[in-house]
Amino acid sequence: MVEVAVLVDITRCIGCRACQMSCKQWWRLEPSETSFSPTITNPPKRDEHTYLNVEYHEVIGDDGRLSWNFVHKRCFHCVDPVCVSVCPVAAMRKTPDGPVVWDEARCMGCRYCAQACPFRIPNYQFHSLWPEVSKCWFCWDRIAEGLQPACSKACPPKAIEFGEREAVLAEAHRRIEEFPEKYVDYVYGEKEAGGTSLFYISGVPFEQLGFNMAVPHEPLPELTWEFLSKIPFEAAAIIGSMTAIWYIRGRALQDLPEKDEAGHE
Amino acid sequence: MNNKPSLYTRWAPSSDTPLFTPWSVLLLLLAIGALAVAAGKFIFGMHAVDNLSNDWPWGIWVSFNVMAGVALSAGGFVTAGIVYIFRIKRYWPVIRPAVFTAFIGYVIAGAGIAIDIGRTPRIVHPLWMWQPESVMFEVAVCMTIYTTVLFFEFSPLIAERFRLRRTLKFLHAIMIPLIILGITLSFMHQSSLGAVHLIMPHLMYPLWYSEWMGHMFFVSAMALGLCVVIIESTISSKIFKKGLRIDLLGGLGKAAAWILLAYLLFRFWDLNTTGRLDSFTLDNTFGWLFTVEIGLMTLAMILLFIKGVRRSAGWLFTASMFVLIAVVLNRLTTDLIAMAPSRTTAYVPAWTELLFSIGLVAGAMFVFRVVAKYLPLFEGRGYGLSGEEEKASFSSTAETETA
Repeated sequence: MVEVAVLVDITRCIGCRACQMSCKQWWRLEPSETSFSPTITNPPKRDEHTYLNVEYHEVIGDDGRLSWNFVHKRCFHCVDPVCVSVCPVAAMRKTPDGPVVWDEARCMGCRYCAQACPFRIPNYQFHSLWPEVSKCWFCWDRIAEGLQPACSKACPPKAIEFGEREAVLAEAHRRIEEFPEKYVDYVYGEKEAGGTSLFYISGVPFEQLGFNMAVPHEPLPELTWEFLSKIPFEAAAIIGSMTAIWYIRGRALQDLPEKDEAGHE
Repeated sequence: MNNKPSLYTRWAPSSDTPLFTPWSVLLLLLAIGALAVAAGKFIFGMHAVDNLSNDWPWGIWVSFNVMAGVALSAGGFVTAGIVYIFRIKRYWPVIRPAVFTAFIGYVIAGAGIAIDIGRTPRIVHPLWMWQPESVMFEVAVCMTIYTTVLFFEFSPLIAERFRLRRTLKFLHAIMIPLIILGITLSFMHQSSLGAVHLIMPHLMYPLWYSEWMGHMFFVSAMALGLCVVIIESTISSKIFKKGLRIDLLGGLGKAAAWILLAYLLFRFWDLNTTGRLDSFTLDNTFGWLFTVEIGLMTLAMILLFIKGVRRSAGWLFTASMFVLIAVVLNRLTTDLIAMAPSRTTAYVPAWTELLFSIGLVAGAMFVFRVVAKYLPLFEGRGYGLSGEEEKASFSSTAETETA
C-alpha cells in the first residue's frame, strides 16, 4: 500500500467550508454550536463534533495590503506520530497507508495523546461517561476502499488535493518553484515533527496563519526512545551494583561487627 | 494461627492514641469528600468534577496526585536501600514507617490516576496491552509492580501482628531480592515520570525542560523521600508520643543535603550547557517560580549541611519542609504550569479537584493513624534481618522475656 498525503494550497481556498460539511456528513457528526467571533471562523474551534474547520485569518502584508486567508485545519497524520508513540496501550495506530487511527477497545482515557501532540490536535469528550478521543481520521475507511477523503472530494477549487505522499510533496515544491512570487518558499508539514501527511503552501507567512513554527523538525518519539532504550542497561546496572554493595557490605560487617551499631554521627 | 507467644511477636498495643480526635475526624471528613468527588465523576462524568479541557487535558490530578505523590513516596526505596543494601543497621527504626508511608502513597497515587482517566475500569489495560515505546506504559507497569513489592516489604507487620510465623520466615527469606527489585523499579518509574515530558520540548517553558529530566526527577525524588521520612517521624513523635531519634533523622538530613547538592549541580550544568538558562528572567512568573524552587532547595541544602540544624528537631523539620515545597513545586511546574505558553486558555483547578487531592492525602494520614494503632509500625525489631543476625536478635529477646 502506498503512503498517501494531502496538499492544502491556501491560496486556492475560497472559504466555502465544503470540507467541513462533507466531513460532518461522512462521519455523521452532530452540529456544533456556532458563535460570533472577530473572524468568521465557525465553528470557532475543533472539537469532538468538528474534526476539521476552516480558519479565517486577516493578514496585513508588508505592502500594507489586506489579505483574507482561509486555512483548512486538522490532524497532520505525522509520519512518526507522537500520539502513537506515547499511548501506553497502543490505542493509537498509524496504518501503513498513512492515517493515524484510534482503537476504541484499547483506550483507557489517559489523554497523553492530547497532552503531547506537537500540534495539539486530539480532542477528548470531557462531558461523557465513556469518553472518546476525536480528531480527523483521514477517512481511513474511504482510503482503504480506494476513495479519496471526503474533504478533498468536496473541495470545489481543488485547494485540498489527495494523492501519493511523494507525488503530493513534489507538486507542492513544483508550485512554489513555478510561481515564486505567489508563494512563501516553505512547505509546512514537510519537516515538522519529522514529516507529516498534510502539506500546506501559502501566500502569506505561516506564523501569521496560526501555525506553530516552533514544532521541532526531528521525529519527536526519538527523544523518548533515547531515554527508554537505555533503561534496560541502567536497570541491570542498578541490580548489579545493589547486589554487589549488599554482598560487600555483608563481608565488611563480618569484619567489623560493632562499627555501625556504635557509630554515631 | 499460632496463638502461643512466638519468637517473632513482642508486639503489644503500645499506642493509646485515640483513633478519633478533632484532627483525625477532619481528615476522615476530607477523605469522605474525596470519595464523594470520585462518585460524582462516575455518575456525572469528568466535566462535573474537573476543569479540564482540550487545551488543558492534564490538570492537578496528574501533576499533584501522580507526579508529586510518587516523588513524596520515594522514602520507601531510599531507606530500604540504606538499611538492607548498604546495611547501615542503625536506621532500622525509621524503615517501617517509611515503607508504609511509601506504600500508602502509591495506593493514593494509583487511586488518583484511576479516577483521573476517562475510562476508569480500563486502568488495568497496560498490564496486557503492551506498548514499550511509551513512557507512560513503563510508569504504569512499574508502579503496579512496585506497589505490590511495597506491600510485601510492609507485610511483615501484618505477619507479626497475627503471629504468622511461617509467612514471616518466608518474607524474611525474599526480602533482599525484593528490596533490590524495589530500588530498580523505583529508578525506572521515578525517572520515567520526568521522561513523560521529554516528547514536548516546544510546548514547555525551557527552564523545566531537559534531556536529563528523567534522571533529575529520580535524584530530586531521593532527596524528597528522605525529607518526607524526617517530616513524618517528627509529626508521628508528636501524635503518637514517641521519642524522636534525632540522631537518625540528622543522618538522613545529611544524606538529603548531599543529594540536593548533586541535583543542583546537575540541573545548573544542564541549564547552562544547553543555554536554557538564558530564558530565566524575573520579568515573568516563570522566573519567580524558578527562583522560589531553586532558592528553597539551596536554602534547605545549606541548612542541612549545618550540624546544629541536624541536631534540632525544629530546624530539621523546617529544612525538610523547604525541600518538600520545592520538589512538589517542581513537579507541579514541570507537568502543569510550564505548559502555559503553549495554551490559549487558563486552567484553574475546580474546588472538587482540590478536594479530591487533599482528601486523598487526608485519607492516607488517617489510615496511617489506624495502622500505627493496630499494627507494630514503630516497634520493628529484627525486621528483615538475614539468617543468624535475625536469630541472634530474637533469641536474646526471647531469653529476656522468659527470664
